[in-house]
Amino acid sequence: MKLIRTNKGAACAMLAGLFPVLLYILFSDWAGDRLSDGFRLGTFPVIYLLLSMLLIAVTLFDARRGDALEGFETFGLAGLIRVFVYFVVAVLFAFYQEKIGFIPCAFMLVATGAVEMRLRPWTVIFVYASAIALLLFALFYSLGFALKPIGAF
Amino acid sequence: MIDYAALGQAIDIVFQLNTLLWLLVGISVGIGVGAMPGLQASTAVALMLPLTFTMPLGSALGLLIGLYKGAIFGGSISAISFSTPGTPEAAATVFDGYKLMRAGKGRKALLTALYSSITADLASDVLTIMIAPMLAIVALKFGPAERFWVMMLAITLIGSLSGDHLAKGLFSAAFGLFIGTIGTDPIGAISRNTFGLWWLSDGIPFPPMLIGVFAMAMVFNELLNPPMIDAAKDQARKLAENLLKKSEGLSAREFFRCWKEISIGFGVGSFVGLLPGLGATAGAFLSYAVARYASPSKGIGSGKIEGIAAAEAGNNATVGPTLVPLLAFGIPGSATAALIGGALVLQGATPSPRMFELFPHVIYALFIILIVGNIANLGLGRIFAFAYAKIGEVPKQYLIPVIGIMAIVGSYVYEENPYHVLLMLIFGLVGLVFRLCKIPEAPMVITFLLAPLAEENIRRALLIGGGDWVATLMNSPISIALAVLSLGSIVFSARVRVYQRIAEMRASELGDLRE
Repeated sequence: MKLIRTNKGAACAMLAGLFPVLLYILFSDWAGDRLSDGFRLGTFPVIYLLLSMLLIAVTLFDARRGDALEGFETFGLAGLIRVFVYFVVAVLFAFYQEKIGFIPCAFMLVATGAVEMRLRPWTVIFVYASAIALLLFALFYSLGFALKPIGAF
Repeated sequence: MIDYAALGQAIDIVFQLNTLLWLLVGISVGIGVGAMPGLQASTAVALMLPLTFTMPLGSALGLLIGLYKGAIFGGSISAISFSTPGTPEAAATVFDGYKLMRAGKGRKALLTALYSSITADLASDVLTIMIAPMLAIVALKFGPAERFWVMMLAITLIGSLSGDHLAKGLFSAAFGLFIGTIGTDPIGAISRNTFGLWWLSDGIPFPPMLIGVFAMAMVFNELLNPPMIDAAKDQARKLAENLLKKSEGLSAREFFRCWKEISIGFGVGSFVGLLPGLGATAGAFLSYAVARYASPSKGIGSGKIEGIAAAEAGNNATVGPTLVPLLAFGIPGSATAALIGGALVLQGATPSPRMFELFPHVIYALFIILIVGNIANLGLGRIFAFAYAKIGEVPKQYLIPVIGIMAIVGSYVYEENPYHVLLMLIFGLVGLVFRLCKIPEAPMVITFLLAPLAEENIRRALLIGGGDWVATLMNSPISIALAVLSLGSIVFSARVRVYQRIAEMRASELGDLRE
């Protein structure tokens, strides 16, 4: 487990993540298409991706390969779940705020963030999320952005 | 040659109530953000960028430049008051600032920081106004090959000087180039590298990308391990206690005693600001080190105002010059310069050497705002610095949800496209991984902007040169010099890192022997 939290471990994980991208480009239909100036459409993406992979591979072998990445030691599964939940709520906000309305959606999003950040008690969260949702609506509305306060329903 | 019509237009733009109000808002928010540990100038500018989408040019520039200037100074408030630099740029201020604070001279320290920041910032802005047009004239004479090598130099400098690990900095730069290829190829406008997703066919839009990297990554990072409430309350109470103490101010004689350190800060900071990739943190530390070396008798490091003056002048003197590569070559020298460049693009004034010909009023307006911003920063800093110190440590439980929703709404309102929020969140995760792996984000953001320009220039150069790579890319002494400098910057940086590593190992061996 400790190996993963070092430069070496992070480099391996990144290479594992980038390799499928390289395969995707190499085996895609468009990458081999020749352009009017003689270049292929995939030339630059492949060069830049290979360069990225080469540079991250360097950290597998350089003098600092064993250096610990302390950031990984400060959280566990609960932290990852919090990020995942916030991510999902944010995506729902983006795709449904027009239907449900900006203010209720913003309230939900702020409340989710506040709960996850361990803000208590619940009454404070309620007042805080309501105030921020209203303030943000007023701010963006006054700047000319067409946001619907309570949606289409 | 001054274009007086454009200058008049710029004065009209700047001295409007709206522009001045947004400048004041920018500085006020910027100082507050700078005073809050964990928030950086680039985060503040990224979060506020969406507000400028519907603003006229003057207001947009006023807000963003105000934020930048305010945040760089604001970092010194918490550095002095609580030994916690609000921004990395203010880390060198802690050495002397906090010692003065503990000695009951917090007010003197804060005023030294304010006055030396403003003095160096103002002088460096004047330097920017003189240098940028001259460099732009030189840049106009460049062909595609020279332009390509200027970009390569910027990329290698940014990659090799950012962060403390050469390979990681360069990886960040290369990865930025790769994601810059997503969308369409810059010459034929043919779709490529979209992973089969229709919403990527126009490429990755800049505002959501950088809001994700700078703001959402911070939110995700805090969500991974939120602070305990009691600790935050206790910290806030302690800060308030410190700040309520009255202490002596700064006399004119004391301030003028720091002229040498402020001059060093101005010189070092301006030079560092001109180089892409180094930034205000390097400016502050280098300036502090040079001032300490230049005046060993002054006891810098033991709680002296000269130390604060050197560090603060060093970081603020980078603010103007960091815009020089952007205005002269269209190449942002730092993440914040990239953000300001993004705002200019959104206003229809794409930064390039031709900007001085095409949009002289924008350039003049920017220059005037840089200067006026210092006066506003001085006024607001003088009146509110002590109050900002009281609110400097807003508990993260309140702060993070606001940053999160600002980032999400900001990405959405860019084009009212929910997929932009999705992209922003994905880049938030990318930024989180970069933070956890200690990979600097700035090279990725800057090279992302440069990727299409670099590709376009090399392909144009090859078309002109008939496909002969060597003859095309080494077509002039300038091209050869720029190519050598690009390579040299990597070699130099690698050697410096090796020496640093050897010095660290020797120091640790000596420590072991003593034990």
